[in-house]
Amino acid sequence: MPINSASIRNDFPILARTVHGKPLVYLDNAATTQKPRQVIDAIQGYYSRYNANVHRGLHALSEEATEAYEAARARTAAFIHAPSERGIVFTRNATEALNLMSYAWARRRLKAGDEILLTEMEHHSNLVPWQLAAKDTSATLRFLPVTDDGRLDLSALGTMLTPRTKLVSVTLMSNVLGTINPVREIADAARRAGALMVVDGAQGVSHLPVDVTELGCDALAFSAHKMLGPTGVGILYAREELLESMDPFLGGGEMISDVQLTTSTWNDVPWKFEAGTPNIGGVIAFGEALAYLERLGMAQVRRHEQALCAYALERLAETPGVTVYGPPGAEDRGGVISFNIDGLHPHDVGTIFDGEGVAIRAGHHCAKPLMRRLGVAATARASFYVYNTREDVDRFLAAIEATKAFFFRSGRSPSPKPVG
Amino acid sequence: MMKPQERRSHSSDQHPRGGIPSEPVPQGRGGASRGIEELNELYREVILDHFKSPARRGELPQAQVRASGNNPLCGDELGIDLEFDGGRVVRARFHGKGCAISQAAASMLAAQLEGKTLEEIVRLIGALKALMRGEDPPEELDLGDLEALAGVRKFPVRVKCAALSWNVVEQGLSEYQSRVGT
Repeated sequence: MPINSASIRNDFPILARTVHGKPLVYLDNAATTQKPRQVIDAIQGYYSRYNANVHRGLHALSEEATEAYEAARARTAAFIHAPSERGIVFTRNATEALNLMSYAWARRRLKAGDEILLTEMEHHSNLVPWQLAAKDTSATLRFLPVTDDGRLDLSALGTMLTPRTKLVSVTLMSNVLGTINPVREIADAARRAGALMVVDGAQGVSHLPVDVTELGCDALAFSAHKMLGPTGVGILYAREELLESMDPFLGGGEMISDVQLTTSTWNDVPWKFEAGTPNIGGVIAFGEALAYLERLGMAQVRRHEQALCAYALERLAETPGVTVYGPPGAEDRGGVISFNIDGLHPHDVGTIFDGEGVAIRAGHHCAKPLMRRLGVAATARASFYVYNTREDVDRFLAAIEATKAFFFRSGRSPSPKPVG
Repeated sequence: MMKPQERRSHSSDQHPRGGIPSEPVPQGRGGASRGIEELNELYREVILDHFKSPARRGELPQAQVRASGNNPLCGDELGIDLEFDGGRVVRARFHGKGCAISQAAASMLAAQLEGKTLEEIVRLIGALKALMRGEDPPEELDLGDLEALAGVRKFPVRVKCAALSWNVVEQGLSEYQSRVGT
């Protein structure tokens, strides 16, 4: 069933508020999404009815909490079609999930001369952890280039992937350009080269139907708060055998089997990688977020965002003085549109948008190398989710006109110099 | 380098009211709407003039002070070059990329620095920081066009855009002083 945003909006209390006297139009979903009442209620329900630590107590509250926590793990596995919930590790965020792979796998397996293949469009969280691993192991980083229209240049794949390549890590969907990358093709090539395939799904899993077997990845990192869930919960999926072959990332309670004064043995996967008390309430609420998205259907989520994106791109193409970055068509991109208004810096654009009640992101989007590749210092970015409507897109377009009118109105210099 | 009280006002402004959404729905900025007057106050004509036609954009490769910095959060980049002669700045130039506020602030600051001694610059920067905290600068101190930055105070998120220029100058001067041993 197609998504009915008008009725979905009733589930999101925050969408009823105003900003600077105007109804909120929230278009910063690539940064974080809003939360439905069901998720907020789940957090409140945990703390008001069965708050207890997991995997420890012999009392009823702890049993209930453990059951709900592990049910969320099973739901997470089903959501990405993972073969088993034992491949699902809960972390603080997607960044920590990628760092887990960097610390517990890359740093212990790589040596001088080995190569890590990344791309020029990665978020800093899929770049810096590998820089740290490369520094410690004297491995070399290589980068798949980005074309002028914001896609990966796969023609370089043949020369970039060599027997020295031990790990490939690629984003499923660019947080700046929305580009949906051909991860399966890259994963197949990585496997032929004998390299481990890691996918940054912080955007992709929130906006696209994802099946880890179809993706062909060994590991996938994503984030609860970018898909209706609370902050403070990240997810690392990895093949069970891969997790078993890895030593722990963090040490402490929960992750052990036995502890002597000088040595310890490890708990089974995935708990081996969940040291300390996890974000129990957050994980349980994330389970509710997944249930919400399952009811909508991820194929419908994708269809809805693609339609909004197509409408916005079409109207933007008719709007003079606006540069849009990334693939030209909505079929190749998720619901993310990076743009600049000629002669204006995106921060100034963002301030006027805020005055109009339209929340967008402005800046480098934690992807400074991609900004340099695009030849800009920063961009403004609008990103959509299930509760956005065509009216939101219209308010967004009106905010562009309001911004131009504000800076270029008569009495103010009509011919600004381009910036960036 | 934000003062704690600046940070507090920053976060309280971004999140007008904490906690679970309740009725009535929170209004931004204590119920006041951000009107065109407030935006005009932020982007005063003189700021837009400096942004669009900066008189001192450029570099001084031979200058004694060549400082640069950036705002890691927004990516704004700024370099400021100061040429000294007889203990006073004789020429100031800036270069970089950034928003109207950061670039205009640099342009206005460069203009004010020319003719000033180190001590006068330190006093000026102190007054600008006070201005951003909502205090009135000392009457005897002429801020020139920089006075237009008073409107930035109502936009705590943008204070760092203006502050980039004097932070860069401060850093450049301290490096200069440790180099020449004054």
